[in-house]
Amino acid sequence: MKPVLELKNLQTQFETRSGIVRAVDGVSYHVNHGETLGVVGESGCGKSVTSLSVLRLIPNPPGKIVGGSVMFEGEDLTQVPDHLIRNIRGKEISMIFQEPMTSLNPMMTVGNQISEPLIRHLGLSKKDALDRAREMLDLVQIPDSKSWLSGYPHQMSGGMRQRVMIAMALACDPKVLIADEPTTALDVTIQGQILILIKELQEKLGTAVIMITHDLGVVAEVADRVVVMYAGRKVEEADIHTLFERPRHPYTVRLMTAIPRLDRIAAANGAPERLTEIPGTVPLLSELRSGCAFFDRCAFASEQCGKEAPVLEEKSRGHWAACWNEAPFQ
Amino acid sequence: MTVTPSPSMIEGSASKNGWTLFKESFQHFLASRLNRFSFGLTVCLLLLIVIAPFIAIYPYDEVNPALGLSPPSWAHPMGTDQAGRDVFSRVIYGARTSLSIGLVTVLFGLLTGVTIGAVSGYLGGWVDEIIMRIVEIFMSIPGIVIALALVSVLGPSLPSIVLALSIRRITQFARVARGSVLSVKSEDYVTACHAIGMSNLRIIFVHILPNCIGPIIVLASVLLGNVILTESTLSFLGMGIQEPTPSWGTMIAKGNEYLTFAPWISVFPGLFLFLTMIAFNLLGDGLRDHLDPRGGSVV
Repeated sequence: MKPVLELKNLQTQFETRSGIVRAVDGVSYHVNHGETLGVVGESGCGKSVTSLSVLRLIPNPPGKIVGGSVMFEGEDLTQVPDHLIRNIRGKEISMIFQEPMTSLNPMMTVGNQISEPLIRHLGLSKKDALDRAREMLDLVQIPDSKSWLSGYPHQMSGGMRQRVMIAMALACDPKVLIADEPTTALDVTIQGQILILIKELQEKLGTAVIMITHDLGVVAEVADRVVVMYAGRKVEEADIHTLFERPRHPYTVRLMTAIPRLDRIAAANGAPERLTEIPGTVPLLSELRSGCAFFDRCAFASEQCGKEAPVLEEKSRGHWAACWNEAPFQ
Repeated sequence: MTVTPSPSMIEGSASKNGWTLFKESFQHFLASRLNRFSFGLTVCLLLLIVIAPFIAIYPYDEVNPALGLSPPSWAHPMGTDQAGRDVFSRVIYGARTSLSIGLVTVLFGLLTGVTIGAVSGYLGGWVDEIIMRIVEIFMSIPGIVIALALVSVLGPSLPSIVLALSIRRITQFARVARGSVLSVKSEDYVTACHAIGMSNLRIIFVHILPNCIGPIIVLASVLLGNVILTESTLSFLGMGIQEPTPSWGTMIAKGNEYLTFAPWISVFPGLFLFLTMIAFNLLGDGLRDHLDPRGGSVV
């Protein structure tokens, strides 16, 4: 299958007082038509910056895309002129953000906000756009959609606002939807509802979804394929089943053991099992060492790991990992 | 949980035209007693501009030396000034000059200054640096000096006085607008606007500026009184509105000499200036709260 969106060796840097920060350091991934790609990693590993780079939404200065390409429909999005990328944003590729509470303009009615991309990209009249906005509200299952058109964001709950964001993002029927931690700010029940909604709409509209999250539970729920990022690089990529059954990168393994599991709590005579965490913190991206970025926190690190950064190689079919260790972990 | 929309909201805007919406919004605005007061007072003052010839008892420039400095009486409700001109008539006509100078100057300063400040804050970088340094240069020179210089070059006509007084307001509006834009432009919804492909102009004027309106309205209502007073300083120095055309500022300034034994010359135009400032400040406050859909008094 031909990928809809393909990132090749993307590099994004930030110039700061303490030096150049390579927030995204040669990341490549692709997403196919109708597929959901999960991008996982802890805070500050560059997953959001990668997705913002796709639409060139990195504030410049201080940020800058310095290398690589983002291929979409035969064009490199890092190179196209500004007015063309504006035609792609929201129409071909759209985004949902982490904070539904602050991602809507408080001074504008919900109906007008959903209409904006419709008027901008599809050239609809105000009236037609409002009609379509109402359909979108129905689609994202907001009850009483007609009256909500004239409602303001502050009258809505977080879950409803995220539904509005989804309605806005999908209004122009985009080919790719980038969801940047869409459920992080929501409580667990609403989280589940929003994930199911995204999944349903994806099946209905055939949109490719890039789901960025730090929550492996979310990934397990929705993703077909997963990319694990650490310190601005891709460290592992596999389809969802392979990743959970045979993770090949120690970081992925540690992430999985750090998830609390109900079936393990009562393992040892009713005494709860201790949750293992990953020791240490993510290294500062401006002070990366020469070897593997995970070296200081890795239990399996060898001498080679400290000297040479591991290269990404295909361990089994479709399963890529950047680790010198050959044997799979248990 | 889903929030049920309030009844007024359920009726919805989709089915209503702009006029009905405006009417409803206006009725809501007038529901507050303070808003009714400030709105009523403002309307009365603006009405003065139109109907001045009908309520002024005497022509504003009718000199009557025999009656000079006479205290308020039935014939002259606010007394007369040193030349025997009726203070009441002059105050009424003075509303024309003072209010129009104040309103036009503030409006001009607001439109220009807010545009400059918004563009500067939004674009940032070297554009911002250059624009703000120029603004600071103008701010470092006392406003009255700039105004004097301009009026002496252009001559003391109404347009040149408005222009002279505007320069200072432009810098003030520019700084306030820039500050608000700086804080609003990093909001998530602005990033969201970029992400749906909106142009910079639309983002600035449709999405950012309405969210900066609070401090700008407050500044405008404060500056209105300030402009009327500065005009009087210009007049005092002979560079403002020329006699015999009355303006409140000039009347207050001229009446100064007689303050101890004929206070009415200054007190009455001062009272009107005070009422104007109260009216516009309260109106500004009320508008700011009213325009915020969250309904609070958040600035």
